[in-house]
Amino acid sequence: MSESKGTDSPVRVRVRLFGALRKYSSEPEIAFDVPRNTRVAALREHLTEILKRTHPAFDGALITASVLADESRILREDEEVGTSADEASLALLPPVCGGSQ
Amino acid sequence: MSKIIARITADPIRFEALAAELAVPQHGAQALFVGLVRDENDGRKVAAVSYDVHPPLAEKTFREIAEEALARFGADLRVAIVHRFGRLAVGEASVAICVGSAHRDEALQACRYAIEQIKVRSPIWKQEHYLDGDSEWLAGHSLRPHIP
Repeated sequence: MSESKGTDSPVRVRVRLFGALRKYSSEPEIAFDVPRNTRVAALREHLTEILKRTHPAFDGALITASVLADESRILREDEEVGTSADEASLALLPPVCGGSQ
Repeated sequence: MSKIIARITADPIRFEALAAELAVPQHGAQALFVGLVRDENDGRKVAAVSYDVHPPLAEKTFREIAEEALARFGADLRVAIVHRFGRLAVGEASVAICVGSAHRDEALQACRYAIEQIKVRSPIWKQEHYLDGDSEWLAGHSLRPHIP
């Protein structure tokens, strides 16, 4: 992550999609700007809007059941992004089904 | 003496090598669970399965599950959890769990615990490819608290 430029500058959020969400983006990640200290819950809403715009039939329930994570952990809904950097690299993880049948 | 191996790999899983990594003279048992790609699911004929994985989080989750197994079944357990990613044909191993312990009961229990936890907690997703040419991502367990 880059050093913060200031409290008024937006935060560049990059979100990688996994599993069933992959089919909704031709790019490896979705990138957009949000105000500094935007909460995870608001990011979820933002992502739903983006995917519904590009895919009108997109089922928002899939995002409702998904979590946002960074490289080491799942983020809480009330956490804020960009508190100490101008970029946030995240992953959107839909319901999981590893292992075997 | 305990040991944890948590690994995501694109390569075929070598079970004997995995067991050898865990073996110590104090252990008289090793339990091995292997999950395979099956040729049928929900009445549809399956040709292959693609596994999508978030590697750092998956390996971290495997390590947490293994640590829980040590806490529950014995501090001297040696646990390996290996999961593949990419497209696997029917019959290929998608996951292997190997647990070494002094006696068989702890190894068997820890093995069972690990696979059940992996299925509901690890950031891994399955896309089935059917013989009719269709493909589908399987539904799963939400990682959000309070959402089934």
